[in-house]
Amino acid sequence: MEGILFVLLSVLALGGGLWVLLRRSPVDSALGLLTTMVAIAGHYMLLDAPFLAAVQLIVYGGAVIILFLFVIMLLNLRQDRLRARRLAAGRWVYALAGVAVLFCLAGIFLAGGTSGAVDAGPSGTVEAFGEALFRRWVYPFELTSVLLLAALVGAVALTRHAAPKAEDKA
Amino acid sequence: MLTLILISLAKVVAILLVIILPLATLLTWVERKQSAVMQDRLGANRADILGLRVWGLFNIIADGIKSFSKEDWVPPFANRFLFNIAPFVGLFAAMVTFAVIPFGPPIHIAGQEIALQVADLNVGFLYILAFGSMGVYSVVLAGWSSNNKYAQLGAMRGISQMISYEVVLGLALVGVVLVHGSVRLPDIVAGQGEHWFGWIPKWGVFTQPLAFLLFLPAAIAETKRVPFDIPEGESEIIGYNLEYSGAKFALFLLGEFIEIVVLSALLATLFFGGWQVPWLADSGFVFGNGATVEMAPLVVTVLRIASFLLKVVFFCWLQLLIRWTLPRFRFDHLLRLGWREMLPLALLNVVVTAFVMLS
Amino acid sequence: MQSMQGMQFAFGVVLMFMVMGLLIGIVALTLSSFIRPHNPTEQKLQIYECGEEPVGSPWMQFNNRFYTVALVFILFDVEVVFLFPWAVIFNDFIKQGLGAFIFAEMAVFVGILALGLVYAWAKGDLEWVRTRRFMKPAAARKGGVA
Repeated sequence: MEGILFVLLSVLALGGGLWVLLRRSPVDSALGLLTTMVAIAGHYMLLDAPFLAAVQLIVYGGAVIILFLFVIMLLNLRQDRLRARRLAAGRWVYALAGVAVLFCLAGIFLAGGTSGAVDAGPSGTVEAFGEALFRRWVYPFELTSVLLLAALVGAVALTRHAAPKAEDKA
Repeated sequence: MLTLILISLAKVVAILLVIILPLATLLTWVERKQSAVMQDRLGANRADILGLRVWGLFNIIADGIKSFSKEDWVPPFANRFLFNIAPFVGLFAAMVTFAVIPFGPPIHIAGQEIALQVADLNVGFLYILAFGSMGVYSVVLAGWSSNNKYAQLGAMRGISQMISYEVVLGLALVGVVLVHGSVRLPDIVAGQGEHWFGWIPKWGVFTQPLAFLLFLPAAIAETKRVPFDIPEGESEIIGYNLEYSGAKFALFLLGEFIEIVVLSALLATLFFGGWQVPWLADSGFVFGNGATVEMAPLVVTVLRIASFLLKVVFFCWLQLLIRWTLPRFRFDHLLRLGWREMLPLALLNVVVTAFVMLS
Repeated sequence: MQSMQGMQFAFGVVLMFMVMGLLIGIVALTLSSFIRPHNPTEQKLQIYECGEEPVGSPWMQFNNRFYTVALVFILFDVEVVFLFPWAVIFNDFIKQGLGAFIFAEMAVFVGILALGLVYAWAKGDLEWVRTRRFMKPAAARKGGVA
């Protein structure tokens, strides 16, 4: 049962990823990404980390991808306009970056970096997560808030100056 | 193991086919009838079988047959796949949230304890928040795939509204979690079984009054009904689902009514003691002055399940009442209320609750 | 607290619930496909714009304040998600005499994030109608947001 679910979720996650790459319509790509995110939430569930699964759905599914879709709808990204610019001059840079990421992942994997991550015991509950976060990882947690604040202020400021002329159209 | 699976299957079927669907379909009739009563009309009363009318109850059947025998029209300019899945997403997101709501105390049959709840996930209502937030996709997909100006505008309004009020919803719930120290709904219901001075039940509405006042409007905003029906605005500005017809439109409506039921169940569970009856302990009634009334365990269980259902029905009715009483918010008022009034209040509620617990 | 197996069993039951929920919708639509007519006409195939002839493409530029709302939303969504584990263990910390510590932890976190809200608020990004700000920037700065 668990094995079947694992394979199913993995296929969904990888398929979603491929969908992101291969579809021309940006909305389709965003939905592919959503599929991947939901499948990963399922994986967290299988790894006995229900809190992470819920967070994955709430933050990535319910917020981040919604933001992507919002931007796509706001900017009017239609597939026929995108086609011209698709994989233009920088394609070799993209390819190189992709290969580099692959090497990094392979390196981590070969070095055994992930071996201890899975069998950490019953640590996926909300209580366990809170204990770890608020005892051991207090400073990173507080720093996160600064990071989030910087991201928000930057993004809001950019939106404001980007297009003051487009106001009041909607 | 097999009995466990069979019991779970029975619970799934019971919840879906005995609680959610009948209640949601009944609500379609209640809504029409209630609007009629409030507007001094006779209301839905035309459908009859052999001259029998039963206050128009047959209108439910007539509505069902009508919507499902209508042409299912997919616009040629729409994105066909997304257009077709959008109503399912809404229905699905509304329905699955019911899986973690306890509708009665654990019962004992043949030495086995059976929780009257589909699944006791230990993330509790984080699961509800997670799938509740998936409901936005129904609006996004419907609006975007319709390729229609009105639908797109409606979807933009809808997304903005739903995400704005989702924050308030979450923050209001943090207060409830603070009081009970758990996100599991059975824990929260159990915590509400205690009393102050033996008389006042420790219901969420008394321990977290502000959270309740914030939760109710925020949750109604999530269901996209009046006074928060700006994504849809059926009477004039129309919205994200305007290219839909027939059975798929009916699915949108069914999803909306299921949301009403789920929201009522949540309100009852979080703020009104769930299946708890005031002063009713496992052995019978125990009052604050020491008086007791002994009762058989079976009677107690039945009373508790009945109390949960009664509360759910009450909150369904309350939502319909609100829908036919209030006018619609203007969009700038809507965002102003969400971000500049309710959000600071919700933050304040969390801080004050924590502070009170500290001292 | 549940065992690991209990958790995964619960997960399986929820999956079952989801499948059943989907089936209800699919069965309803399939049944309806047997009885419903299919009769597209030219008028029906038009984009619905309240009886007017459709003008232009459905693609238009939207107000970018929708985007600001979504951004602020992400910030607070993350905050709420962090608040839940905090709220769950708050009582345990109080019992261990660490109440002030954990209260301060969250006060700092929420306080810093609230700065973001204050920023967006003060700059008028939470204001839907802000034409006045562009017309008279000096007045708006002096008198706060209009």
